[in-house]
Order: sequence, then C-alpha cells, then structure tokens
Amino acid sequence: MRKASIVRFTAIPIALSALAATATVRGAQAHEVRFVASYGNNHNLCTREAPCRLLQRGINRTPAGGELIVLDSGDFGEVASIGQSITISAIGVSAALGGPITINAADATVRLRGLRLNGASADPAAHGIEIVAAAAVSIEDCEIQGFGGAGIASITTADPNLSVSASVSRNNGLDGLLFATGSGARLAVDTSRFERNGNMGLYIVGPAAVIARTVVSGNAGHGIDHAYGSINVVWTTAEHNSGYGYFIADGEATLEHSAARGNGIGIGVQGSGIARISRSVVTNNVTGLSVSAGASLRTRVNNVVSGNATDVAGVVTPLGGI
Amino acid sequence: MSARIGTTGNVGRTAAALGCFLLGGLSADFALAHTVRYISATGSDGNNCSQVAPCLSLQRGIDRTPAGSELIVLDSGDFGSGASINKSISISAVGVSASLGGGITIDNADATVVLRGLRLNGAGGGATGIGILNAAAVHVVDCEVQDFTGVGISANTQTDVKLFVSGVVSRNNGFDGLLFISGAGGRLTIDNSRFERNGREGLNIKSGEARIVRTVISANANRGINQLGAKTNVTLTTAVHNGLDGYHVSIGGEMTLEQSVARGNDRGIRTQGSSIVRLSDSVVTNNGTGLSVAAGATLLTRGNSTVTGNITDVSGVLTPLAGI
Repeated sequence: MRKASIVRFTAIPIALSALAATATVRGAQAHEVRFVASYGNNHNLCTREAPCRLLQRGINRTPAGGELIVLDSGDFGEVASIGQSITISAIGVSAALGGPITINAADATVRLRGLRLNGASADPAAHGIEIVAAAAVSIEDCEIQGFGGAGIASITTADPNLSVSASVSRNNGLDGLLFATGSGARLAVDTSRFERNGNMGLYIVGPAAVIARTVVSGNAGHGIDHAYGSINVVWTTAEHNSGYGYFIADGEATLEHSAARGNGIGIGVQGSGIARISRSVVTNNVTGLSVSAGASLRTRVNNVVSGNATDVAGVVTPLGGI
Repeated sequence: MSARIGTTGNVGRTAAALGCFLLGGLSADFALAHTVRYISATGSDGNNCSQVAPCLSLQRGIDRTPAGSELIVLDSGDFGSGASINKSISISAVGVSASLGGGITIDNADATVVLRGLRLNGAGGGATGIGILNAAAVHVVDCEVQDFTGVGISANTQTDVKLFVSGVVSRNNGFDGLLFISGAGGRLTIDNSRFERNGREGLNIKSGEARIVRTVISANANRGINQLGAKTNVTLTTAVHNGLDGYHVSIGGEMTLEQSVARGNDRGIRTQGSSIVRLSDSVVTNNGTGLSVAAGATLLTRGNSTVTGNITDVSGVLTPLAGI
C-alpha cells in the first residue's frame, strides 16, 4: 500500500514542478533538445556532452515543447511523470523503464517513441503508460509488458487524442489498452499487437476509434471490447481470445477485411449496438456471429462465416453496396 | 481487492474501470521488481552483468538475470554459441547485430519468454535455431534464424504453448522453417515474417490452431505451409516457388485462406484426407496444379478468387460457399 500510494500521489507535484521549472524558458528557443544516457549523471544539465541519467530528470530538464533523446541502451529508471509537451525519442537502442509513465498535463502534446516498459509488478493500479490528462499522446514503437494493471490506460473524463502505432502491449494483468474518456476523445491504433493480457486486448469505452493492421491475440477477456460511440476496424485480427473476438455493446462498429478466429464468440453485438461487416473472415469460433435482440448486425454478404460450432446466432441483416 | 473487469456484461463496466483506477493505489504493497542485466561485446563473464560491468555471453547474461526481468544487448557482437532459458525473461537487442553462433533452448512450463532482435546462425553446426521444449508463451520478435541443420524455430512441446512470431525470418535451415507440435490448446500467431529456402516445409503445423498474416513463404524444398490436422487462418500471405504444395492440408485439418497468393508451386492449394479449405479473394497462378481436391476432402470457395494460368487450374471438385 505504501509504495503504490506514494507513486500515485507524488506524480502530480512532480509534474507541476516540471511545468514551473520550464515556464520561464518556454518559447525562448524554437528547438530545445535534452539528453539522457546510461553513462549520464542527474546533476548534469542533460546536454549532449553532459547527459542526465534518468528519464525523469531528462523530462524535468526538457523545456515544454522540446525533445528528449535517449542516447544509448540502458535502464532509465522506474516511475516517470510528464507534465508538459515533450517528445521522447529512443531510436536504435533498448531504452528500458520500470514504469509506470504518467502523463498529466491537459494541454500537452506528448510523443513517446521506442521505449520498453517492463512492469514486473502485480499491482493492478500500476498501468504501463497512464494518461490522466493530455491534449494528444502518440505512442510509437513502444513495448509495454508485465504490468499488474493495463498496458496503456487513459481513464479520464478529458478528451485526449491518443495514437498508438507499431507498439506491443502484452502480458499485463488487466487490459492491453484501456480507453475510457470524455466524449471528445479520439483513438487511432495501427500496426500494433495486444497479446495475452489478463482482461481485454483493447477495452474502448470512448467515443471514436479506428483500429488498423493490428493483431489482438490470446487475451483472457475479449479481443476488442467496444461500448458507446463508433469504431472502425480494418485489416485486423482478433484470435484466440477467451471471450469475444469483437464485442460491441451500445455502440457502432464497422469491420472490414478483418478476421475473428478461435474466440469464444467471433463477433457479438448486444444492447443497442450496431455492427457492419464486409470482406471479413469468421471461423473456428464457438459461435461465429452473435446478435442479441435489439442489436443489429449488417453484413455486405461477402464474408466467410464458416467452420464455427454455430455460424450465426440471431438475425443478420443484409447491407447493400453503393 | 477484485480489480479485474468482468469479461462479460456491460452494466457498470466503466464504473468498474474507474473504481479499479481509484482504489488500486490503496490495494496492497506491490514492490516493483524492475531489474535489468546487460551483455556487451566488450564485457566479461566474470562481471555481474550490470551496465557498467556487462557480461559477454548470452548464457551468462541469462543466468544472471532474475526471473521475469530483462536482459539488454548493448552493442553488436558475437554472444556465444547458444543458450538455454529455463525461466521468464525478456531479451532485447535493438539497433544492433546481436549474433549467436548456435541455438536457444527454452524449457520451463510456466515461463514467458520474449526474444527480440537476435540473429541466430547455425553455420557452426547447430541443429535447432530456437527450440521450445516447454513454455507458457514465447514471443519471437525481429529475429533472424538461419543455416541450422535442423528446424529454424521448433515448438515441439505437446503442451498448450502460445507462440507469437512477428517480424522474423527463418531461412536456409536443413529441415522446416518452423515446426509446431503442441497440445490441442496450443496457439501459433505469425505476422510479417518470412520463411525462405528451408530444406523441408516452410511452416510445418501438426496440431493446435494458428493464424498467419502478412507472411511470405518462399522457395522451400517441400511445402510452403504443411498442415496436418490443425486449424489455421491465413490472410495476406504468399506461398511462392515451393517444391511441392504452396498450401497443403491433410488429416482432418481446416484452413481458411483469404487475400492470399499461391504461385509457382507444384500444387497451389491442396486438400486431402477429409480436410477442409475455405478460399476467398485469393490468387492462384502459375502452379503445376492450381487447386487440388482429393476425394473425401473439401474446398469451399466464395467464387471470387483468380485461379488461372496454372497447367491445370482445378483438379477435383469445388464447393461454392455463400457469403454471409
């Protein structure tokens, strides 16, 4: 209890102090770059010649809107808090972190690139990357694994714009990605993988999302669980998830060129949910398509739904092409 | 506390998520066990594998990395002639050429192992590149496995192992590019990978279930994908120039092919032994025989594939599959 509480409640003061420290230099230079390295020292100024050691120190010393570069492979600490706009870039190196990384700055644009977060903690409150508040967050080429909570979590009434690209979230205790936000939030996921998480692969309780070229595999809950708002899914695979491959409750989902295989239920629509499917493959599930009373599943009649113990449960409605 | 969000049902799920978020910090004292060990071409196995005193061989690095922790390869080099893993570990070589002159063996039923960025070369006489004797899950990412006398990546566990292969090349091995023999609950997921010029099958899948997406299986001596009795889905995948069949399913297997290509193989797609193939939106050209359906086997087609330019386009009987 002690440690987890400290982590939670020290995050905000650190973030605020970072804001205060950088407020005076904001705008002084168009392009500010700071550096961390395995051979750095936190008493340094985080310059190229005198890099800092820990990611948190590098973040604190990077002016808002600036860039922080990880110079070499190494372990750059555990917890980190981000309270300003920043780009953190680790290219061609193994930049390991214990996490969690907390982002808490309502107007900030934060880009995280090339970080490897390895949680190794069973604490269900420890998410890998947690967005408390932000204008926009990009997560690129990151690997997030072994957290007790979600790999990536945005649980907020604010409206962040979250982009996840070429990243992996695996073996976390809860969801691979949890996106529960205000009504103006947006989520884009492409070319990513969500594997063997303890709850959903992607748990989206947000207003608008697109998932492209993504593999959602072997999660203990549903592959993609979507409630409310609308979601588009293309070139995506949901497989070997214990629950549904795609679960749509009270929202709208459009699936194209996607696959559901080997799940409990391939594609399920409940409540007032609407799903549209085209050119997709649904095989080897216990039930292929499941449509509850009151929900709607519209199909372009060009899908392969075959080889499930039950191919279709409920009523499927044809959708004409235009 | 019960922090897990239910996997079914909708009412209150947001509240459950928020509850987890708010209460989780009060739940228990969970110590972070974040440990990283290092190897380097300039290291020494007498060191403790810290960043400032890295070890040299992969095996020593593995031995000194606590279970569940991470091992980083700091620079390019030769990290030994092979290694054995018997615990959960994440090995990461990013932006470097981390060469290993031998195979990696994984043997622990409960282990989750991540191998990232390793280059395994069996030219020194190694039999198997990555040999999974037992594991809960293995993630092979951005690795290259070549020139072993046996199988490139072998999961011959008879257990319900979960194997994830992404961004990987297995080539020029004496036997199969990848061999998968699991229990009924075994699962194999392959994306964005290549299986080239292996001496037997590109992929040899004998049990469990598999998903293969965006993968190229090329110029293997026998079959591109040889599937015996398993269930697979194949999408956006190419089987070309293999000595025997591009895709072969037998012994009661099921394969669903979508948006995939078979070209220049002896047979493009072949089903026999009461197996089922479902075919949609694919291209089958320039094979000896395009589609080959033995008596007792089934090939269900959506009627929207291009099957032409083969010496014999269709051998056997096709069955239409209505869209839904």
